[in-house]
Amino acid sequence: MEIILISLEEIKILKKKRKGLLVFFFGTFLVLAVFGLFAYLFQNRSTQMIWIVCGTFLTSLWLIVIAYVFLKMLSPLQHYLKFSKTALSGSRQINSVRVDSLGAENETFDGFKTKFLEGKEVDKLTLMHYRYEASADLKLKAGRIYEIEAFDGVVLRVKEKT
Amino acid sequence: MNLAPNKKDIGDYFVTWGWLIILFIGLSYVVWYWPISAIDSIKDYEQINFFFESYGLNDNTLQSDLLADLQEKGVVEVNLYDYAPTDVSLTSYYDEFGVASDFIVLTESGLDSMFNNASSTGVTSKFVPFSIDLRTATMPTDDYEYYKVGNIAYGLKIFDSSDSSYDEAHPFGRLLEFASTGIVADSYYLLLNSATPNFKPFDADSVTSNAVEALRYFLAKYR
Repeated sequence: MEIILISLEEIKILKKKRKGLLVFFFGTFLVLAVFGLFAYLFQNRSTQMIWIVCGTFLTSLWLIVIAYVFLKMLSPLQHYLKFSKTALSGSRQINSVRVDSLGAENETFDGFKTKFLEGKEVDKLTLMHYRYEASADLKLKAGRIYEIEAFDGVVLRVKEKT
Repeated sequence: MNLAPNKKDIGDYFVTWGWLIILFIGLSYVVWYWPISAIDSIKDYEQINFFFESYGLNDNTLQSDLLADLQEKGVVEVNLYDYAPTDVSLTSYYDEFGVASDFIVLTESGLDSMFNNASSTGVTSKFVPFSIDLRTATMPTDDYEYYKVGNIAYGLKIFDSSDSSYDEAHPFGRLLEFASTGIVADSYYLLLNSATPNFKPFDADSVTSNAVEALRYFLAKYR
């Protein structure tokens, strides 16, 4: 069993997701702009409060959603994308590790969320601390030996050793 | 990388960025309220304003009657501003309301000081003269007296302090209280403010003739 977390294919997928988020941003902005145009064209003194209330509601909602998209989705994605490119172009470390535990808590590393993975290097028994992207479903079992490829302590690839 | 929102992330977002969300709501309201209010604000050409120097209003129907009469022509608001000639803040009230009013009623003594050295101050350009054409357009019978500068009539007399027969023929006293106990009586004149856009075609900058219609109504009402 081999799990690849960072690869050229993954980078392509990340770029596609980034494009999707930007399309969402501009698309929803366009919808809001069209609503604003309709308000400008059709509002009058008797209906102005309705337009103000609806406009305030929609604009607030849009700003809240877009802020979420930027802060919680696009920003970590950008950081992870940048890290992935650096990782693939840099020298990686490959070790055989007997996994002791997988952390449950998230911790932000270099702008994206990670989880911890701890184990001991086979033969040398050196204690190894790794991080991996928090939403990755690693499904590693404690006590088993895995070949772990990492860059700057972040897992790129895991392969179970038989 | 899974980007799908989950309850925990959304909850964290609202807790961490709550102040920003409140700011967004306030900002959104301002962004919508300010331009729509500006678009829908009552424009100068949609209102008729009167600035009176007098000791009180005797008739409270002018405002509603005139509005009803001019609504078809796009007038949405008629305002009456009335201040006593003896009011210590009269100049401030005039600067606030008088300079933007279509019709201004002032005392003769006030006009004398206002039009003193009229040629050098250019004050005459601030008023629309009662030209022959304007009189013809607004008065069935022109039996009024005028306040003249040079040979041009700038004020229409609405109260004569020394001629009760004039006041009986032109009963503007039904609208305004011109005298007050302990105060020396003065004559009053109606002036037309050229700063408003409602005296078409008698004022070159005007865009509507609403004030001309209002003048016709006003003069007919108090005959």
